[in-house]
Amino acid sequence: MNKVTTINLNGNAYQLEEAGYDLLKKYLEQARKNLADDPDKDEILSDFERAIAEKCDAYLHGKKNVISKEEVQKIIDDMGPVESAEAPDEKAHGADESAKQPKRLYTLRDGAIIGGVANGLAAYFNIDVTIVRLLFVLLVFVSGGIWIVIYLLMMLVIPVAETPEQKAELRGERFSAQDVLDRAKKKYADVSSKEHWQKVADDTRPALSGVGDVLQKLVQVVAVIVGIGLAIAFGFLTATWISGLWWLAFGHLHLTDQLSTISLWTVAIGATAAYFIAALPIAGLAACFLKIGVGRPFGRQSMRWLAAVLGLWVIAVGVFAGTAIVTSGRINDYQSTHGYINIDNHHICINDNFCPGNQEPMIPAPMPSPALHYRVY
Amino acid sequence: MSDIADKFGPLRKGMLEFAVLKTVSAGKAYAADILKKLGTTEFATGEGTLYPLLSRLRRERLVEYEWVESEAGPPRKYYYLTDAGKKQLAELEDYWHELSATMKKLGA
Repeated sequence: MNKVTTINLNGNAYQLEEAGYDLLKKYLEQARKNLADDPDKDEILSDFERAIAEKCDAYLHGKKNVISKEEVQKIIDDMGPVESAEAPDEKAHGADESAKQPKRLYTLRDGAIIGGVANGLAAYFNIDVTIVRLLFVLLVFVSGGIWIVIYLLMMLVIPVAETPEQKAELRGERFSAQDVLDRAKKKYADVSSKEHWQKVADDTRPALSGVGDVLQKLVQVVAVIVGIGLAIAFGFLTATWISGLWWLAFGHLHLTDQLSTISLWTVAIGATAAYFIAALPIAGLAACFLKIGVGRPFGRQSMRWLAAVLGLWVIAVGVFAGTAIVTSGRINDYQSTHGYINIDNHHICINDNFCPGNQEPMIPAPMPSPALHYRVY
Repeated sequence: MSDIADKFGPLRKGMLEFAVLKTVSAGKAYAADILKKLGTTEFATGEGTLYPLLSRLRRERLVEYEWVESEAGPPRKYYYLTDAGKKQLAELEDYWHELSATMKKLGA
């Protein structure tokens, strides 16, 4: 004896064996899940109910008023699995049918040589990519190499077109079934005329294959070498900074009179700011080059790091300027009243009127006080 | 033989929209009628596939339906092609002919 459940389909009551009810429930739950993205989900589900009701009707007659589990299974098999017919372009359809999709700049990796920047720009402006590449090479020479940095920045900042919609967006095309059809037709027409075979084959070749692949490898190797070089430079700078702080704390910097009002803290902070100003770009560039070298993409996370490093750098510039103004002011005051400073048992002459002997010419002091001339004696 | 059918699986799936538009073009059609007509062909499918497809075609304004009272039971949705649907079908047919022409040409 089987338990029976009564359900309401399309306004009518149907009696199903409990096991059959479970099957049907599972089927409809799966259908709901598969249609999650479908804007007409509810309507389709009620269509299903209507169809199920109709199929149940076919099994019911006279005395037979319960649908068996086997019959439910047959109904479900008959209906088949629920597949969403959702094309990924639905948003573009409907009310704004005639509206032109706004263009958006992406880098395009399909057939790219390095980062797809030239490729993306070419697609964006609808010009031949070779022209853009030649222009880029020219710009590298004209800009004295700065263009390489600009290129890397563009690669970092411009998102990569990954989905077909993004690629359509890049060209300012609407992405819909109709458009795919139109493009397929256009391509078909191209293929029909023989001389386009090669071109189409090139277009459809997977990204970074053949020559591009070798170049990509080469770029990666160079990027790793440059990255390691920059990382070593960063290490040296850091070592210099730490030893400088050590020297400030334990060395013999004797500041007298007005100069003694320059606290060692000011000098330490100024030195640290100077370290940040020099080291941050080197560290950032090292990270970028190493990232390119191992072929990792630049994502949102990279952008956050870039912003943080840039912010820190600006702060360091501000701090350094502040300490430099304070220190150079003090040194200028001191210079007009005193002749020399004692640093680590070296006498440094800063005003000829006060120093013994005039053998050697004075040389300009480095930052933070280039106006100051000095001689060690 | 079923090997060949497997190879064309994705193609048949892609052509289902074409097949449905073509079926509906014959006149106002009830979903069960469409399924019955397709059922005897290579495009045999179930409600699980057809209903979401019809609903998308309607959203794309290629088909429309109207409710028709039936003698036995509740009213039914009868689908028909819109003008845009007819145009789309004609384009699909053109493209299909171009494709088969290409297949012939390739062997020549």
